[in-house]
Order: sequence, then structure tokens, then C-alpha cells
Amino acid sequence: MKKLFASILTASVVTIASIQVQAAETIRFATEATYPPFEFVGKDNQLEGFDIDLANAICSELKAECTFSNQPFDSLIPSLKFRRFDAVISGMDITPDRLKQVDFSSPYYENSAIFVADKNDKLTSIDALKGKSVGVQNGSTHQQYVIDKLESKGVKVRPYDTFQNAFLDMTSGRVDAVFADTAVAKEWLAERGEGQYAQVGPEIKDANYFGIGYGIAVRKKDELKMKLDAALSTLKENGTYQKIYDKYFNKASAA
Amino acid sequence: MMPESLQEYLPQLLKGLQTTLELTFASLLTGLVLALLFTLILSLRFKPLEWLVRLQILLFTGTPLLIQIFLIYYGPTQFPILQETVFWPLLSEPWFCAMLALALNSAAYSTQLFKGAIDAVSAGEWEAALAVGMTRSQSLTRIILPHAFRRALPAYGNEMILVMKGTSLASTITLMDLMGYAARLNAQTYDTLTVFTLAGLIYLTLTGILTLIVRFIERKALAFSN
Repeated sequence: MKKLFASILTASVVTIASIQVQAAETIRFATEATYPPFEFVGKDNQLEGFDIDLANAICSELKAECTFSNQPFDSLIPSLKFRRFDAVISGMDITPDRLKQVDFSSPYYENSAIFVADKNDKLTSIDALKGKSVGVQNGSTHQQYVIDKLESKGVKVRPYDTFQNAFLDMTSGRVDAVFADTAVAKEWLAERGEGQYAQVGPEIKDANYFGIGYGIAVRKKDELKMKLDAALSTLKENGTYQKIYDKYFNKASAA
Repeated sequence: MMPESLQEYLPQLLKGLQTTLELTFASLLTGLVLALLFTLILSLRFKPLEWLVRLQILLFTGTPLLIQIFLIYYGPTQFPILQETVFWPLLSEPWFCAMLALALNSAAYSTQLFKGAIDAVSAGEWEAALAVGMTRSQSLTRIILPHAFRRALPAYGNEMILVMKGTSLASTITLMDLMGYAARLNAQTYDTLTVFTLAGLIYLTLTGILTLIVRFIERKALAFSN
């Protein structure tokens, strides 16, 4: 009996040790895959998008193995802090508020935000949104921006789990406008807008919300940040970044 | 838990309390009226309607409340024709959709509960009531229903608490109830543990108050049986 116990103990110690060796080579990424063209679930149920390709390129640069999990957006930073993942790549803006919670890689995508609304509503400026409802994603910088800047002016903020549901509710007339990333909103206008919806007002860049750009979030003081930054700058130098960028944002020139 | 963050979070969370309470009472009331109607239909064995009620119970006790809320909220948007009807102004409101889902859900469970309570009153009580010279309707209102009510009340108190807790799912369709504000606060501060602990404590307080109310009603309503 003692022998058996000892061998089980040895076996489990060996297993734990081997798991730890493996863990050193794996980067666990989390993302919220309802955000084309940055991350979405493709036809064969695989995660696809600019962020996913970029993360995979980073991993092959670092010779690390990457895993991805698909999580609700507002749970990404809490889960990262609770060590469920090592990094978040999910079209996430670098903001002063988020920097209090996590560290970010250097920005990898420059960003802005726009309002989108039905053309028939004849909303010409952001001031015209007074008394209207605006759909945003819960936990997004867009939600924070609308709460801080427009809620006091009588704009109703409606939080959605995903931007796609916010767009869906705009098409059925439940919200008057949606506030989202320029790239994501334009992709939606092109794919689903059917000429009926248009941008309202100018592109908004505000460094407190979405002016700095997207970054990959890691836990505070995690040395992974250095590795990610090094890999990102290599990818930008050797042209891999541009190739991925062209694949998603300059479709004509890539083809 | 820091006292400063408590001071900061509590007023925010309490902004959602009104919606939570309104939703709870409106769906309980609607659900109760429907459940009494359904119980009547089942007890009278009113044929085609009885099948509909059984189907309703099967569907609403057999599927998760979250799916019912999603279907009622997002379902009608798939049929543009519905958006032309008089129902659309109601169905386009997240508050109404959540209330309807909760009310139908509660009606299904409460009907089973009420029907079970009536069936559980023994035939001997009917016979005894008739034997002392009461009419059928007198027996029903004076003997059978009070006894059925007594059996149903504690279980219905649980149902009230379940509905109250169920309202937290309404935040998934953009309603800013207690849970909606908690989710928003969590997204703003990332102070997950504090925010949801606080929200949980408020729900716990509500449950406590509801339990006391039900106990009070039980004591008053069932005074005859002690």
C-alpha cells in the first residue's frame, strides 16, 4: 500500500512538473469574437480576424504555443486579473482607466470611433442625438465615452453584450444609433447596412477613450509585455504586420 | 471592501433598484392573474384551452428563462411584418419583453403549484362540507380554497423570490436594473469582487424582506388553521 501511494505521489509530481514546463511555452489569449474584422468566428468555427492572425504571428515569432478562448468582452480584464489567461487581444483600446488595472503592449492598431444611424432619421451631428438612445457594448470605451460625455445631455445609453446585438436592435428600431470602432462600424455598414445606415458626425479621437490605439493586455508587471513588444516590432520591421494589415483593411491591394 | 468604494458604488447600484422592483411586481401580478386563469381552465377541464395551457406549461417550465427572454426580445425582430402591428411599440421595449417572459414563466410554475394544491385537498373534505349542508360553491370558497391556499402559499412565496432573482437576467437585453448597473459598474471599475458582492447583498436583502412579507401574510391568512 505504501509503495502504491509512493508511486502515485511520484507520478503526480512528474505530471505537475511537466505541466509547468508546458505552461512556460504556452500563451493563453482571450478574445471576444463578435468583432469583425478584428476577431470573429469563421465558417468552420475557427476564430479568425486581424487580431487572431497577429497573435499567431507573435507566437510563431516567440516560438510559443498559443491558445485562444472566446469570452464576453466585459469579463476579459477581470479574467485576465484572475489569471485565467495570460493576454487579451480583442480590439481593446489602451486607456488610462484600463492601465490602472492591466499593462498593455505598445499599440498595434490606430483607432477612432463613429456613430452610426438610420439615414431616414436625418441625424446630422452628434448634438442631434439628444433624447435618442445609443447602443454600445458593455465594458467598451464607447460606453464609457457616451456615459461621460453625452448621458448628461439626455442621451440614453443601452448596454449590449455584443456590438452585433446593438446593430441588430438598430435595424429593428429599438435604438436610434450605435457607437462603435470605426473599422467595425464600417465593416458592418458595408456588409449589413444595405445603404440604409450612415455615419453620424465626424470620427472621434479622444486619447482618454480610443485615441491611443489597440493594445494587447497583460497582467501588471508581467514580463510577457516585453516579449510581446519585441515580437510586435520585429513583425512591423519584417513586413509580416503589413501583410496581415493588408489582408483585412486593404482587401483590394492584397488581392 | 473599502468604505469609499462602497460610498461610490451603492448609489449607482440603487439607481437600478426601482427597475428591479417594478419588474418583479409587474411580472408577479401578471403571472398570478394568468396562473389563476390557467388553474381555472385546468380544473374545469375546458378542452381545447386545457391543451394550450398544458403546452404553455411544458414550454415555459421546460426551457431556461434566459432563452425565453432572448426569444421574446430578439425573436420578433426577425419578422419585419410584426413591426407594422400595434404590438410593436410594446415588443420594442426591453422592459415589456422582460416582464412578459418573467410573467409567462411564473404563470407556468404557479399554475402547477395551484393545481397541485387544489388536487391535494382530499375528497373527504368535499363530502364532509356537502354533508353538513353547504352548497358546492360554499364548500369551494369556505373549505376547499382556504385549504388549497394554505398549501400553496409557502411554495408561492418561493416563486416570488425566484421571480425577483430572475429579473437579474433582464440586464442581458439592455435593461438597467440592479444587475444592469452592477455589470456597468464592473465594466467601468473592474472591481469585480466588490461590485458583485454588493449587488448580491442587495438581492439578499430583498429576498429577506420578501420572506418576511410572505411569513406575515401566511400568519394572517392562515390564522384559521391554528
